[in-house]
Amino acid sequence: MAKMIINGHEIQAKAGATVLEEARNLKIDIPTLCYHKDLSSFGACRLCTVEIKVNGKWQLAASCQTEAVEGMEVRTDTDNVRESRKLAGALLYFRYPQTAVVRDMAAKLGVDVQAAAADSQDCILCGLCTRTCHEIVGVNALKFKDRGLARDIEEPKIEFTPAACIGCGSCAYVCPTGFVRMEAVDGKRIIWDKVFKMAACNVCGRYFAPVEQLEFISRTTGVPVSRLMTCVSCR
Amino acid sequence: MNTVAFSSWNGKIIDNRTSGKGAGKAKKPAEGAFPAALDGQSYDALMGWNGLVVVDPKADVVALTLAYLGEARKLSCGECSVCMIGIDRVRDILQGLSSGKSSSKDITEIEDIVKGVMVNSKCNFGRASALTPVLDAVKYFKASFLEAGKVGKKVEEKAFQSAVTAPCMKACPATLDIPGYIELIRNNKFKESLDLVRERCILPGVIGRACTHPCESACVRKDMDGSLAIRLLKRAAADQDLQGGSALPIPKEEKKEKIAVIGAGPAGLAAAYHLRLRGYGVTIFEALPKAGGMAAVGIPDYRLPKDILNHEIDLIKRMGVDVRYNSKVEALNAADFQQQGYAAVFTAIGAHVGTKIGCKGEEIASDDVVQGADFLRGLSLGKKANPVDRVVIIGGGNVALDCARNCLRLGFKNVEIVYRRSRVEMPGSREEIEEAIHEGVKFTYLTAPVGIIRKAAKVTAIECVKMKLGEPDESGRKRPIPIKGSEFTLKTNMVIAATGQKPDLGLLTGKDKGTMTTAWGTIKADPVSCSTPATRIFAGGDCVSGPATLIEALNMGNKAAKSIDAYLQGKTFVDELSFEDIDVGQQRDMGFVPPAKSGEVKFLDMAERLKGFAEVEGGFSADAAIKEAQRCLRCYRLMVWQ
Repeated sequence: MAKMIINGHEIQAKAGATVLEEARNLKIDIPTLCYHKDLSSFGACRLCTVEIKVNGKWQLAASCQTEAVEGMEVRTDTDNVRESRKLAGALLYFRYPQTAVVRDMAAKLGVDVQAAAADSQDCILCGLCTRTCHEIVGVNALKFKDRGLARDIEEPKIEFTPAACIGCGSCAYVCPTGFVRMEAVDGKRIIWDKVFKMAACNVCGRYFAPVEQLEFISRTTGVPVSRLMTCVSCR
Repeated sequence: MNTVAFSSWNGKIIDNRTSGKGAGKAKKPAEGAFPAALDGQSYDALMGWNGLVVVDPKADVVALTLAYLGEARKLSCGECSVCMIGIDRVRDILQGLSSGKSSSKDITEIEDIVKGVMVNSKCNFGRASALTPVLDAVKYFKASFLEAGKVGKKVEEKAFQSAVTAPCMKACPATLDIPGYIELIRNNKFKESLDLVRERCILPGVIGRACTHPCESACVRKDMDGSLAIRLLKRAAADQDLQGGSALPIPKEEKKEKIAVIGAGPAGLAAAYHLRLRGYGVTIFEALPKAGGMAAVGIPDYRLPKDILNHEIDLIKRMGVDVRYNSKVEALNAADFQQQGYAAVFTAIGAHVGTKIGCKGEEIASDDVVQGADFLRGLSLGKKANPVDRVVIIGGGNVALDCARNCLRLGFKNVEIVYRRSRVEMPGSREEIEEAIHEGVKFTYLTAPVGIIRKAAKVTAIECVKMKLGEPDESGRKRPIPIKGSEFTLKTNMVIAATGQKPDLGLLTGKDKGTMTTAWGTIKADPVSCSTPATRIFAGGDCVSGPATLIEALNMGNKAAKSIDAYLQGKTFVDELSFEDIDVGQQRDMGFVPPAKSGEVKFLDMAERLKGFAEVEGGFSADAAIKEAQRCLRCYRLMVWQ
């Protein structure tokens, strides 16, 4: 436990908790686009910015990447914080003017948002899918493309490794903009343009998971695939 | 450069534009107020991470700013939402300005974006470099920007030069793109990371273990929550690859010329790799039955397992580099080599001969008074050691420490290092000293040997004198001065002298002996181009610099390859821009960096260590490496000039 102050409230922060988590526990609204409680923090969207008193001086910091420590003082509602978040929102809106989640966020942060000409579901490089794939699923099918000094000047993109993907769909589930699409057609699942054969439950006959995902679960748990062929509802 | 019209370097504003009647009357800026790295090169205007310098008042600051933003865009990783999009937005506004749509409001928007990016970027490129100098440009050259808008002046496409560095890159003797390869690890791209490392360091697994890592001392996080474990990250990239087993690139073309490399140490191997990659036929003549130079016969197994080194040498050999073992070159003669079909020779014979300690009794040849370099080489080549009760090692460098830690593993009971200065002046690396103490090596500081005492032709003791420290000498370290009357004897059965090494210059014959040798007993060669007074003969590594680090030697090999290539292709060899005289650590405001502790690796149990030569230091797992890599602040510094 660490005694700290957020917006004048003295609280006992849990060991290892971030400022973002503690602020949200106090029902303080902290906007985020790249944060997920089950994933490592990434600090990409720069919307969760707060002010932290460091050596007597208030400094901006990404609350998702700042551990709550004893004696820390935090402010979440100053002009500085609002301006900083608004700029991040404005820049995201400048880049992705037709993506609903970005438009809504920008508008909420005080950016003058115009009517959209069309609706597009852009990748905003939040890294939720790449982190989910690596940290939760453990297959590394998704990585950022074009990293390092020799990178392409074009926008960095997501690189998909079809051979590694098991079609679990976690990336589509976690994607905030709808950029990652998953479709189901005739016993097949299509995700990132890779087509997966779905397995039908041997009790109810419903398609319930990609065969490759069941094979992956079998490989990692040692349970034979034959024993995984029953869907959750029929088990 | 003597005068500037304007400078905001390091935030110190010098504005000579209004003084006098314009150009030509400008005053010289204060020391440190402009980037000295470009001294001697003429430029009209320069924009760097920490300011704007305008020499010629007629220079086009708008064009310079756009060129800077173009280069900054390449360095912005796009990982956070403000830096890359901020650069694009500012470019958009500036391009709008230059097509005639301008207003003061645009300048205000630029200022807001720049300030926002400086305080809210995820990494230190955004905070320090990406847009910082643009703020000075729009502030102090506002009229130029507004003018560009009014007249719709087309921004001229001019050739700008640019250079990139970072505090860690500048500290690295081989200027590795450290933030780049760390970024690739952070993104779980170990293979790509290793490829990037190999562009300048062809022995990544070796250097990832045995480097003295000056980069880590320069790391911006050093004084916050500790430097990045840069060396271990490089090792992680190399170790991950051991499982995958990559191959080095195949030369795109074959050139007709063959090149001889003398010595298969880090310098020779690096030169061989880069020359082979350019399509040259390469033969390495190695005097010993093993390749690797000091990495093979100097650095002990417990610091560098030899399968790591051999794997990396094998990769180079598989590119078609011919390594001839037990092939000592007796005479360095360009004509002889030419007759054998070699268009050029790169001499990288290292510095394997120990220097005398300068005490009585060391001139008598015996098995119990040996040179550190000979001792280590003997062990590496399978010579059996005869452990005795007491051994005294003279010297304070890594060779002394390597000898001492080896002795403990060989079964010597009392191992003592005698050094003439104190611990802080010891040139050996801090980790080595700590591990040696940890393992049980005894250290006696401020003590110098005077004479070796023998009984019945066997060493029984060493006479020493106590020292005190005086004023700093030319090496910058405090000079040790003997204290009269403080002589004492130290019982020992063996003395290992590890006070320095020099190259064996036996291969210089005839008049070359004089023209090719320096006063320090090394080969005379240009430290940049590696060329020597003899035509077609190049030299680099320890035999030119004197005993230095692996990475320094390796970098000389990198340079030599470029230089030999330029020579054979009839081109002029141009070295990279040096940031030597610029403080690249300087930046306007660091802001707040959330603390994150560096990951730790496991060290071999003390009980296991002294049983043999197993590697002591463990490496990062892939996940631990990714986590550590996330601590990197990416302190890229950019400079664009014309």
